[in-house]
Amino acid sequence: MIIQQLINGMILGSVYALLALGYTMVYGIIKLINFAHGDIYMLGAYFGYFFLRVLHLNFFIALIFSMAICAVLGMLIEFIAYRPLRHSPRIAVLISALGVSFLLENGMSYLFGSDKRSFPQAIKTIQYHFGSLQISNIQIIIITTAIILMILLNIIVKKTKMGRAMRAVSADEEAAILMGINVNRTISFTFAIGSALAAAGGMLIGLYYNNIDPLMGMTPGIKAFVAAVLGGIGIIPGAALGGWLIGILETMTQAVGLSNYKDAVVYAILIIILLLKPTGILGKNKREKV
Amino acid sequence: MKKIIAIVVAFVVVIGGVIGFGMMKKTGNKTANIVKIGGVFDTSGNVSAYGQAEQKGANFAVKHINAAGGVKVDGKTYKFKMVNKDSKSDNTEAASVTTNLINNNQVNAIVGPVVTSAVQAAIPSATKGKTPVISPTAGADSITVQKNGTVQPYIFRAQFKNSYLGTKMAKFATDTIKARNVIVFQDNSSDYGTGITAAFKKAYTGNIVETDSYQAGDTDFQAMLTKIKNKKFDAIVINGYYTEAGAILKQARDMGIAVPVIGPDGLGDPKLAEIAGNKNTSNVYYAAHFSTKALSTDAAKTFVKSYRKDYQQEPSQFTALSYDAVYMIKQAIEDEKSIDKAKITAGLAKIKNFEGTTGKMTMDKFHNPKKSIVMVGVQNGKDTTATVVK
Amino acid sequence: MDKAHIKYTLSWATLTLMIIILIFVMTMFGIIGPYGMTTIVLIGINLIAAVGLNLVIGMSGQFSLGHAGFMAIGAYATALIVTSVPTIFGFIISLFVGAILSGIVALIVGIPTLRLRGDYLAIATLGVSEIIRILIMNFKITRGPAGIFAIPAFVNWQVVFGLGVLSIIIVVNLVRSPTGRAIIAVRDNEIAAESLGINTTKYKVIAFVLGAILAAIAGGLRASFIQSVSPQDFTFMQSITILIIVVLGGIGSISGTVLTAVALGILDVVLQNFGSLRMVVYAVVLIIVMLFRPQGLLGRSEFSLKKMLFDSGGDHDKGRSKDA
Repeated sequence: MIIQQLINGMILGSVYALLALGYTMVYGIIKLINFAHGDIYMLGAYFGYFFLRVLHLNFFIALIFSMAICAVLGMLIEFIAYRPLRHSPRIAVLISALGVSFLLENGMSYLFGSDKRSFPQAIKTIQYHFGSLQISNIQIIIITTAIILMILLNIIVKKTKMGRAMRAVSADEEAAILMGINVNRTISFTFAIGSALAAAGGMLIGLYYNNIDPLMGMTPGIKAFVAAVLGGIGIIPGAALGGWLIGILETMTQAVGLSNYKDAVVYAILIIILLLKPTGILGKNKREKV
Repeated sequence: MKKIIAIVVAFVVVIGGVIGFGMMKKTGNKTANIVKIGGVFDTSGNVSAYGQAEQKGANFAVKHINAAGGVKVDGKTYKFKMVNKDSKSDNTEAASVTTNLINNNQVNAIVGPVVTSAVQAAIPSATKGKTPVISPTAGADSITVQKNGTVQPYIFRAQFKNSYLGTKMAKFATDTIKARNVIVFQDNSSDYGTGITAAFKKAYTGNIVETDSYQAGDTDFQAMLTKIKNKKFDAIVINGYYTEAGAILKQARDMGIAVPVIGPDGLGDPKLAEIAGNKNTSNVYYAAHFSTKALSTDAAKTFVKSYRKDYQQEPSQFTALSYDAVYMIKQAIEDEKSIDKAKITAGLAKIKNFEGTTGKMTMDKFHNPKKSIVMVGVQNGKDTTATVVK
Repeated sequence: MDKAHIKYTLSWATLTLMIIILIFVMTMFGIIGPYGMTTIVLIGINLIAAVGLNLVIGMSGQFSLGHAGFMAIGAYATALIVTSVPTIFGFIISLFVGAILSGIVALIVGIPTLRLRGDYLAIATLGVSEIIRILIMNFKITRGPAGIFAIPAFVNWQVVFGLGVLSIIIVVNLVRSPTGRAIIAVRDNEIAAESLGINTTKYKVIAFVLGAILAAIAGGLRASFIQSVSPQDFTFMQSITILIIVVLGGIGSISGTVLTAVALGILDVVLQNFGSLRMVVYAVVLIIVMLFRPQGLLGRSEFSLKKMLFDSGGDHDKGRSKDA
């Protein structure tokens, strides 16, 4: 049963990890906690809902469409709400991000009602049994997608030209400009990738839990942000590690009978970890320049 | 120095203006021929799904009343008017909105708030404003009782009180389901979940194997279900709303847990089967005010029929309760032959054998409607059986 | 105290007095009804909490997302004490108990966590606030998710107004004291401050504890005014509400905080009629204000009576004077 609970934790963690990746990328490049990230995930799920229920597309085609639309939306949000504030205090951008988040949540709720909707079951759930262990095909899809996306991201960041530009902007924006890097385009690209990932996450979660609503991004959004910080914000493997860790922690506190205090235990452990490693588990302790 | 003088002069002028304005202002006459009903509904924020459903129900009722010619008092005909304000799922805002409706909109009665804690916050405003407040869905026993044990004069509800629900569910679990061992899941973030659980535990004679909690908004229940999967139990009781209960149901059935699931009226929404999937929504029993399968009153029949026609969907318990709340106010006006706030309050307290969509009800002395609970059985996502629990 | 200083102090006092008279007269003639009163009191309560948060975020530069937790401590202290001792003394004692309790928690939390920087601190404080809320939700004495209601009311606008003015005076004077200068030095350049021999942790903790105390007082006032408390009142969203007041007003500007608290309070009154469109409008307002005034309404500068009344000529806007 412990192993089953670990698997449960891994799956829940993969959900957080998928979201945390987007947070971490955006943070890494412009040091912004993008509160609207969880809502892009919600939009991804709603676009998926539209393509599947109204247009009856194939799941994977719908997935690609939804990712593409959210990528564009992500760039648009960055262009309208964040870019003009690039050189303002960081907290101003944060509030603007909160504003975008409220707008998306409540705009969707205004247009389509805030009630839950059932997500079309485009892929049939099949349960596999291994002895006393049980895992469904959708759970396997979620874990593998999370892993594949993470590897892909690492390749993009490490091997491609755009990835190098992203790292350059993240390290030193001024120097990046001097090296002839188009900073605006690089940041747009980061938002596009982050949002596409969130959209994929939203659709997978819709499929897995079978329901979506305008506020579905709120709690996972905060959890994913916590996960990103826990792993060391700005570090891609850190986001995955943080996500899984929180997923497993949540599952385990419930398994030992502390369901009333689930989130409290998670936060307490988080604080302890941060006190021991102030920049997150994989974070490097940067020397501060005087 | 000039500036200072200017400011002092400006200040005196403003104060003078205020005084002048205050002297001229007369107590304006109330708009004739209109009964204003204030709606305190959470149409934004995290309980907005319920708030929007209830607002719909109240508006629907007003539409019906006006279409049927309004309400006649002493030969004079009054039309109803809803004044809805959003309390954004926030208790402080519920208090503020209630004050606003009473003092600025001069409403005759209020329908709302949605949840227990918001009603608690609205009590002082209602009491100060001497305005009857009827909450469609707040369940806590305590909201209609004052600290000294007497009734809270201005607070009413259309909902069952939590202890009644919990007790009847326990009886149903023992008598009809014949469950000796049950698992209880409760929504720990609202009084609705914990209140019903407490009453259930008190009344249930069998063995409660395990009690686990979740939070409103949770979507993943794998850990909770894995933990109980290998234990011995005959039924699961889910004390919460359809949103989470639907997800629990789906994940439990996917895991191969096929035992009966029992829940309060919070499960009574067509969305339950949508979220869980029709196949998974079998062997589910929920406490209901009415069932689209076995409509108990004529009012229910007309309501369900016209609701289907207008919205092309099945009404939920939330909509029905809010619809009834407005009709109870109408009943009180007709009984007392007055649209005066104090009279409506008195009328509501005396409601007897009122035929609502959610059953035939009589207000008890603590402003709780006495009506029978129907345990509706669901198979394949459809209401199939209806058992009245005495 | 020199003569000029007395003059500025007096002019502020006169302004305060004018507002008091105005509110009095308006209530007397029924222009402010019970609803207007509720709005004024709620604005005042948010203001006290926001002034406290501005001290933490604006003056000491520490990004805290945990204000709701400290408000919860104050609110529950008042709720529990006043329900068992329903007198004005009980209420005053409850405010003190809440403030002290909240200060102690802030001290325990602050000493280790204020070593964290920026967003790591934000997450830690968010965590603490959530832990407080979850504990309250599960403890027997706090009566679970339903919370406590029928709390005797001792709060009217005079009390809130008085405490609001008092908290502003305390914070403004603290900022101008040597302690306050040290706090601001830590914000502006932590390393430089440290090399000048300033014990940075100590000053961060002072600001944090004082912020928590003000939050607790705001919470206590709200508990007695609304006459009910429940854990849902103190979620992450509550911290965000207060944060928005501080940022919109201008981080580090107390007069900005006052202006925004009033403006947002009035905006709320208007938005109540918008139904589900409400938060959409609010969100748009938030984004637009940030885009056009990223430094907040007043930035770091203060609204200055001295400049308005006693200076003649010259450019008023450029200054960052915190006098008068």
